[in-house]
Amino acid sequence: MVVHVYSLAGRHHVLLATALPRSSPRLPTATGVYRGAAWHERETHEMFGIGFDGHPHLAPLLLPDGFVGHPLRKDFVLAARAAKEWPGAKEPGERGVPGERGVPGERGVPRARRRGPPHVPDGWGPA
Amino acid sequence: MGAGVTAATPADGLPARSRGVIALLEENCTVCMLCVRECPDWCIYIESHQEPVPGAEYGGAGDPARAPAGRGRQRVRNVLDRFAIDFSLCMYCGICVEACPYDALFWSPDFSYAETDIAALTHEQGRLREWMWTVPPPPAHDEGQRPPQD
Repeated sequence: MVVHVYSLAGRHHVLLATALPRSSPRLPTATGVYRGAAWHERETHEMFGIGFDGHPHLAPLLLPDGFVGHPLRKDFVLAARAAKEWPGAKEPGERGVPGERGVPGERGVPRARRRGPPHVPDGWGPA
Repeated sequence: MGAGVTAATPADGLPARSRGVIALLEENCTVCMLCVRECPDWCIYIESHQEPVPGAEYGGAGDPARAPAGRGRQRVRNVLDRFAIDFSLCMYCGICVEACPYDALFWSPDFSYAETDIAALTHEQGRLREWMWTVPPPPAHDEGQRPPQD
């Protein structure tokens, strides 16, 4: 958790950073000092699952009702990447289903260089 | 504050290198798949197949004395069957245009292709080729620059 605190009057800037346990991340609320922090804490709560003790109304701010999970966490599986097949899985000259062109090494069938889409973890996508 | 800076387009002309739509010069496409694989939005779709190249039945040059019939590998080339860009997914980053090593993708400043059906925002090969007519000529070379080598 990283918070930038800036004083408009004093024109000084403090950066607060702290590590939180992945299983039960909780912090005391900053709304007692900055009332405007309420929305930021609500967003952080729904996107990362961090709890803020003493927050007056820690309800979801942006996500629809009933949304399960914390979508800005790195381990959150993005539906758009899981449901769709990567178009780049096909080799040049490959028809139809990726990998079903012929036996690699045969005439006119170059050995396929299989690699997954960049920046998408293994195990995502249609099986 | 001076006069307003918000102006109507395109009456005042668009800025240079405006990103309106991506055009495909399919004659230059070799189906290398680089644009498809680089696209962070997965919005480019390519279908292709391989065809034997006539007159290139031998592995080396077309000299039967050096490469007798039946030896060597049949040359094949990739033929483009479908090239489509889904502009409902595209975020106009231009990585595909940068990635293309064969000058097959170009930026066009034309932006007038709004649709009421989202599926119609997937522009197929023919439509992408038509956008080529709206691609502006490349900017002039700088003064004193070495002339192009090709």
